[in-house]
Amino acid sequence: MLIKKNSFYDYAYRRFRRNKLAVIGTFITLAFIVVALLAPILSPYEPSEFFFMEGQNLYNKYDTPSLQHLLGTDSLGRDVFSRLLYGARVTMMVALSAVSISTIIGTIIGLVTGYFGRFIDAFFMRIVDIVISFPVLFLLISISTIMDPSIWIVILAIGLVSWTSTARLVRGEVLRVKELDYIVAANACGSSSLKIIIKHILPNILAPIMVQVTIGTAQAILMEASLSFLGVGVQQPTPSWGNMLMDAQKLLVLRDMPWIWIPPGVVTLLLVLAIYFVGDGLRDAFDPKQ
Amino acid sequence: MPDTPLLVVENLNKHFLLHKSMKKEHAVYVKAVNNVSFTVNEGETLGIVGESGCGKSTLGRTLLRLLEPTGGEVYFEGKRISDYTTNEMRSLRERMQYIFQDPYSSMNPKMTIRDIVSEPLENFRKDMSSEQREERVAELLELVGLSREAMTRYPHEFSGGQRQRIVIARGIALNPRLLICDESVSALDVSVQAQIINLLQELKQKLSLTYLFISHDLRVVKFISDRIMVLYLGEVMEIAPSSTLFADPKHPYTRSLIGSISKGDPRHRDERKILEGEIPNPMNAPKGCPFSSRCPVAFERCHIENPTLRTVGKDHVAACLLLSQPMQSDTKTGENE
Amino acid sequence: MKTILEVRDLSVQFRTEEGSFHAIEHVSFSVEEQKTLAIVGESGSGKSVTSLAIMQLIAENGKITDGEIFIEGQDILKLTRKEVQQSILGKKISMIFQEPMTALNPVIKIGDQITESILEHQQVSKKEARQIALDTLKQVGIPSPEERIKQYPHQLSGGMRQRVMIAMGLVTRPKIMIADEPTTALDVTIEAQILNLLEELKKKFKTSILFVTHDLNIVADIADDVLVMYCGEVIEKGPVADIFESPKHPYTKGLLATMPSLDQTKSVLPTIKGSVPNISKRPSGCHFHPRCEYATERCRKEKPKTYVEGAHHVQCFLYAPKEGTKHA
Repeated sequence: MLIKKNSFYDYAYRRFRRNKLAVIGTFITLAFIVVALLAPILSPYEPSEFFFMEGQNLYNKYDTPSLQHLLGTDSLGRDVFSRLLYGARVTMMVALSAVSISTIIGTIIGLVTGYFGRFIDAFFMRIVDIVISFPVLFLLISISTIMDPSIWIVILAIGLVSWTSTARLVRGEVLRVKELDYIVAANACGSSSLKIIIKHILPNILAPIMVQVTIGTAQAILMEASLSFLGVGVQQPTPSWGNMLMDAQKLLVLRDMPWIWIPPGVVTLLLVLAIYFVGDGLRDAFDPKQ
Repeated sequence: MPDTPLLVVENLNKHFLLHKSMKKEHAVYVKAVNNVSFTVNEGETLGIVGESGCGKSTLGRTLLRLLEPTGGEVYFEGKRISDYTTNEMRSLRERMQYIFQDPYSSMNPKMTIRDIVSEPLENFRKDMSSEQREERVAELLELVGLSREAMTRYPHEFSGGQRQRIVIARGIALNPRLLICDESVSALDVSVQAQIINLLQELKQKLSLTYLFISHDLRVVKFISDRIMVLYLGEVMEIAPSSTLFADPKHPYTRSLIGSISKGDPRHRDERKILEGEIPNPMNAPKGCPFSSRCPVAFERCHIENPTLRTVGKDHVAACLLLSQPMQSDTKTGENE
Repeated sequence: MKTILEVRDLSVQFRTEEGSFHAIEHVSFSVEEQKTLAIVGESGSGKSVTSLAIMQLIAENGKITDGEIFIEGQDILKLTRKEVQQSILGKKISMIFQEPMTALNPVIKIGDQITESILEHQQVSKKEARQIALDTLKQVGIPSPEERIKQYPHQLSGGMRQRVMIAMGLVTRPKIMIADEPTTALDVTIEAQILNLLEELKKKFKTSILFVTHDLNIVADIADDVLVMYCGEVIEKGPVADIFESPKHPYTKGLLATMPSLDQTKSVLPTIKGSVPNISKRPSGCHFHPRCEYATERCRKEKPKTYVEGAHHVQCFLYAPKEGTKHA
């Protein structure tokens, strides 16, 4: 269909299909995406909806799971299950946006430094060194003392810190590919540098970039979870799996109310694992060592 | 054939700097191509032959400015191209093309054959529409003995010989005048080699091409070339018409090289001559004549003075002190094998 | 004449993504004492697989499915892996490869690599082993062996490394040495030296040589007997003079005609039409029939038997028995 027969991607696709873990990972990831998209339909309540105790004026906090509240209620009386579903949207959106930003920046910088080398290379690699040494956590904590970090600040923070691994990867690949005969041949055919980068180099380094995107997504999810858990990520009332885990900071909740923190923990673990399986599967599909 | 040679090379140098040094004398260079001079006439095939470190591949790439020369001049169609800018060189690519040694690595594995062969057309024939380009690609593929269906397939689906045909098709796409073939048949099976050699001969006739044929295989070079240039450690040892080179080789290295080749006949197996010694590392080239460390007839001056190319016969030049001394070469004739 | 190596009906199969295929089928030949047998073929012929099978070096996804390999009369396929490693490999039979850079360990000095292989197979002290190593290096023509022994592989040229490999192969005085394209990566003048060296050593140490190559010219120079392989089968075999002066199989004839020789007078080289088929797409019957100008319907349907004339064997219906000819 989309993939040309007998092309590199055709063979890769067939190899991927044979890898059971990768296929399972793909289905799980797709399932999560579908659930996230359909959250408004699947969710019984609004995520910010507060519930009151029967006939009283008090919030129904920490209620155990029941038929009305499949996963009980949290510290403010909101339905945990609904928050979980909407949280999926938020977590995944943050992760995917951050990964897109880091991939685009990293790829462009990697291509340019790898291909042109010398001063540009030296300059950007020093920037990479600076960015890597930068403590994201402190940055976000500092920002949060001034204002509540909006969701876009969180996305930018994660994205702007993660592009370095992509850049290094792309640069390494460009260096490897640059000396191959078909690049010299393209030069001999009269192709311009831009044409060579886009038509010859980029298609041949796409495979490792794709694998890196999966890893980056998983890492972004975990980063969001950590940041939100510490209170400097996604802010209330917006639900995210990370800030749902924040409740677990209270010993009482941790010990006696597992329905509040186990679900977000488990789904995070599951999704990250599924994405890693897909990433491994892609890596093996693109580069089989027979 | 017109009188002006198509390609004139004068004292071409390509030196690679290995170690920089504050003192110029201490800088270490690899003289991959050193003082190479020769001409190529239109319509002929000049064979370039030599062993490792002789610089033949570096020479090919430097001629096309795929590598920058460090000295000397190159004239193509009468114009001095060694100081052309990158843009001027780009426009020259239409008329000078290069066929790489390994057909597989010189094709982008992610591109279809159609895209690969049409790339030069896209760059230089902007007047052609994409249908016209596709038709031209089909024409080229058929010219090299492949069917037009090959267009939609990928390089890995083809055998070595077929891949070689594809890169040849790409090389002739723009109707170049000069084609540099770098070890174009070396990686092929014997039975396929002959097919490609025949193809190259056929194309030369049909398209009035001029070839620079680089190879380490003397037999193939002899078959396909009109004249042959022998290189050793980046320098020219001898240039002569093919038949003359084999009938009457003057340079001791050429004689040793030809002597080392198997006769291909079990009855003549004892005729194979052994040339002792190792090929020197280009970083440690011998002083004087580069061949002096292994030459069976070298004398003291050979280790001090590097001989220049002198005429030793009709259309025949060689760089050897023995040959440029008319008296000594007379007395030494008896000793030359 | 004592037979050092005898191979009978050897077949090797490989498993790939697209299924299982026979790399070689029904390969039979023998090598006598102090003789050189050359196995010649192009890519896909199975010549390398044959030599690797004898050394039990077939890759993970391949296995010997049939046949026997006798070394001095002993069927080594019936021995356990350990017995083969201890008493056969490196001891009675050794191998030198095409690319000495990958066959030699780049991080161990030359001297240590040679002494290691001596100590593996001989009961000598380290000092004695070092002396044997020095002597062997001298015998293979390496100048100043005392210095070389302290060097690493990358410090040596291609020709030198190949000599070191030969030294390592000879140090245990094997009965037979397998050389798999040892000169393909070398320059012409160095190739001549190495082939000459092998000839001298063969006489000196009374070793037999099994020489695998694609180059018929080398075969002309060094072989006593020749085995021609195509698509995994032996299609012709015989003494070198017979093969070159009166080749029987159309493939052999084509191969000899297609190489440009120094006294080539034609302007167009004779060629064998078509190309070598992929291992997964071998033609039925005689594998060569689609490229053969003498092919008949029978060639497409049936596999020819091997027909014998003296020491000259050929697998082709053109030589099928009329009255009087034996067949194997």
